[in-house]
Amino acid sequence: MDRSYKELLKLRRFPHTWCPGCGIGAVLKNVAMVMKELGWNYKNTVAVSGIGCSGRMSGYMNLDALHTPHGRPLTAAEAIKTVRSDLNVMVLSGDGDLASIGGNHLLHTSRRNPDITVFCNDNEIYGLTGGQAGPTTPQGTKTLTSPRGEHHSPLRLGRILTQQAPYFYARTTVYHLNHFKTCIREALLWKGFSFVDIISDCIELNGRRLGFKTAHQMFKWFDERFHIVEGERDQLQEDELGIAKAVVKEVPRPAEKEEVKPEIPMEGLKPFTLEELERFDGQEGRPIYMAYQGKVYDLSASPLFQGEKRMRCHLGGKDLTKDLDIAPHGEDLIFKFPLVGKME
Amino acid sequence: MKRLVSGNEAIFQGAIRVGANYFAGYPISPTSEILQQAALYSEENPGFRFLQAEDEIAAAIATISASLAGAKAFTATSGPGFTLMQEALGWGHVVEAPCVFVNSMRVGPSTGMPTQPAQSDLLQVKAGTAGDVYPLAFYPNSVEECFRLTATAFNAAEESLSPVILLADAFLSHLYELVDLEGSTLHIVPRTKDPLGSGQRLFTGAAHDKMGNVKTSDPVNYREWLRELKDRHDRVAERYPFFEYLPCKNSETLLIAFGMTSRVVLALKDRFSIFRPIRIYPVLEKELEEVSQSYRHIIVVEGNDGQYASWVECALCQKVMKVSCLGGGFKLKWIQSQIEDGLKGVGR
Amino acid sequence: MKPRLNVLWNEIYCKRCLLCVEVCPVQVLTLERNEIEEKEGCIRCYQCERYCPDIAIEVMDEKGEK
Ligand SMILES: Cc1ncc(C[n+]2csc(CCOP(=O)(O)OP(=O)(O)O)c2C)c(N)n1
Ligand code: SF4
Ligand code: SF4
Ligand code: SF4
Repeated sequence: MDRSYKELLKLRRFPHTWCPGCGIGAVLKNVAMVMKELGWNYKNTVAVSGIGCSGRMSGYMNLDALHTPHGRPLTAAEAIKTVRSDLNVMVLSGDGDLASIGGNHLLHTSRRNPDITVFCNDNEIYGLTGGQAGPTTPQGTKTLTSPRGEHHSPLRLGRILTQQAPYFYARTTVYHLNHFKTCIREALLWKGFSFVDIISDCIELNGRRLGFKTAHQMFKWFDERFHIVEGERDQLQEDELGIAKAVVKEVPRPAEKEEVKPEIPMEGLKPFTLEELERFDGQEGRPIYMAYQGKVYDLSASPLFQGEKRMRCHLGGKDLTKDLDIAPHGEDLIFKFPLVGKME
Repeated sequence: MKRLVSGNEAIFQGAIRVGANYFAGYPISPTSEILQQAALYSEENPGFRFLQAEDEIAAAIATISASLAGAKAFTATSGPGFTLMQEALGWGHVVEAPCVFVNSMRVGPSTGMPTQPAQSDLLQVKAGTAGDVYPLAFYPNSVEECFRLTATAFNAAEESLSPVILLADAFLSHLYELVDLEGSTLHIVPRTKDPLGSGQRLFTGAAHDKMGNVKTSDPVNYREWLRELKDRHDRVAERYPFFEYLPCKNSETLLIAFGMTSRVVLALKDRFSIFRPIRIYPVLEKELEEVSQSYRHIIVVEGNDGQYASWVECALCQKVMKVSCLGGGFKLKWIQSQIEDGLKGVGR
Repeated sequence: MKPRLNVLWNEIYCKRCLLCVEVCPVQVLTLERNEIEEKEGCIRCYQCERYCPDIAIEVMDEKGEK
């Protein structure tokens, strides 16, 4: 048995702070084991945590670790990775921290897809504060803040995080250890934003109220609620444990947009004189025509010309070639309107 | 060569010139131009990293985290955004992250008057976050000073190991003046702290000892830590006792004003003496005391309802007169009549 | 670390959560007088060590070494 992973933990601070049987210890240990296998250590890795029982994890890692305000580890991790792309950056935190108070950051950090790995200790409860309902608490569960059962349905992290490629979302539990470790390994090696949703037990402040006497009884419950699905998936059902992932093919950056000017033959267009044009000024139900670079357009549908206030700067029935060249909205705008004639 | 530069641009250029290489922000008047310049600059200079964050909470956290990762980082915002940044600011003091937060003030509270200048975030700067912190804050009143004080703010941040606040106002942000940025030289204080990824440290917002061990129920350790924090800030502040004093020979009255209000009352310099604090925090108590001794009347003219005046009262242990320029109005005539009314003992 | 027949048990790290006791397929581990004890019959499957969240129990190899 290889126990060298222990050098990645601050054993001098053991026994750690968590309750007997709490799943967080298992998350810490298994992440350390896989890190060791991959050769990750304090020279190349930084761990970031938020607040909560789960948020204490990074403090036990023998690395430079960051313990952010509640809900902010993703932003911190992203910034660190941006500045130091040579470092491996991982987040170890709880479901309340990442998905409730940090929910907005979850949406946007995942969208920006930095190369970081997130381990979410998903115990479906607010542990540190005493057992209130959290964003992932299943509907109907009794907690301190849902004394008659949680009214609302939980956030489906799996759906939120797989709505747009590229993504890596794994769901596993602290009971299914082999699967758990596979997920950790794949997530750490994934290039881009990877999220491991670890169903874990808060035996003390959730489990007991649910009627479980030991952590092991909760593990059995996880085994009943979830089953492992093998192979490549792009989505996971709510009762499935597995990895959903998708990549996007590298699209080369679009080259500078070439100016496409619609080529419209000038002949055959109705000729206008400036006086004629002036009649089309939008007054009394007349359409609004305007000339630009020798062509006459019908701008009646433009919001810029609806009502008096909008008309502060442009006036219908005029040659606007000069005005448009300095106006904030350029010619792109005018080409969208129907061409009705040309200037004499 | 001199050219027309806005306050916002001068702040950005000042940051670049002292080596800033990370900016995170969220659009808000009147500092969006700093965000926009940072975006463009990062496209042209790969060494400079930029994040348009989803909100000011993220912008502030990213700024502090980037700093810990080794970058010279800054962010810019206005009152409402600065309110959202308070959480991160407290954290920045505890994890000792040198960085700069620019707050260009507009009329509050809440959305207030987004395009109107104000000076009403002074108390927020000192006491907006939970717990006791001792931030350093500077407040320029010209475009040239925006440039120089941005550099000062970065240097003070490196020395005090904490976020330093650069104050401005909507007037200053959008003020254009002729300055020679390229020809100016700036002093640069280098980073002393090792970046993330070089040890086994814990950077935590929880109370901790020098080894980084979390100590959340040890009052002795806490008091020692807080005293050290305060001493360090005081020591650094001593290096920057910035103020401007324009004595007027026959005046028995001292006007105190800063930022844009100091520009307005400058027109009264032949009738009144003027004291302009440039370092807003820690409050220039000693300097205020010395200067104020020779005056019978002290009048604080500011763009809020007496925020700095309350610090002056604390420093001098006496009541002072207040002229509160509220709602973005800074008309010299009005200020003058308020001063005269006050001196006559009529009105307030 | 207290040696048992086949496992080493760390009484300081151990929080008596009983996970090792419950995952042992041959039920040789027990909690007695607040100590983890081991009966004959360990099949050296490492389940107890793998599941212990506190790194408080380690299975020795055949030679009785760590
Ligand atoms: C801004 C802020 N609000 C509230 C809290 C109180 N608080 C501490 S931990 C926590 C919940 C953590 O829940 P979760 O992330 O699920 O972690 P767990 O404790 O369950 O592991 C809360 C609300 C705080 N520390 N900071
Ligand atoms: S309260 Fe729950 S989550 Fe927190 S340590 Fe205890 S068991 Fe774990
Ligand atoms: S699993 Fe570990 S902590 Fe729990 S009782 Fe067994 S040895 Fe102790
Ligand atoms: S190694 Fe297996 S059989 Fe032996 S005590 Fe541990 S769980 Fe039981």
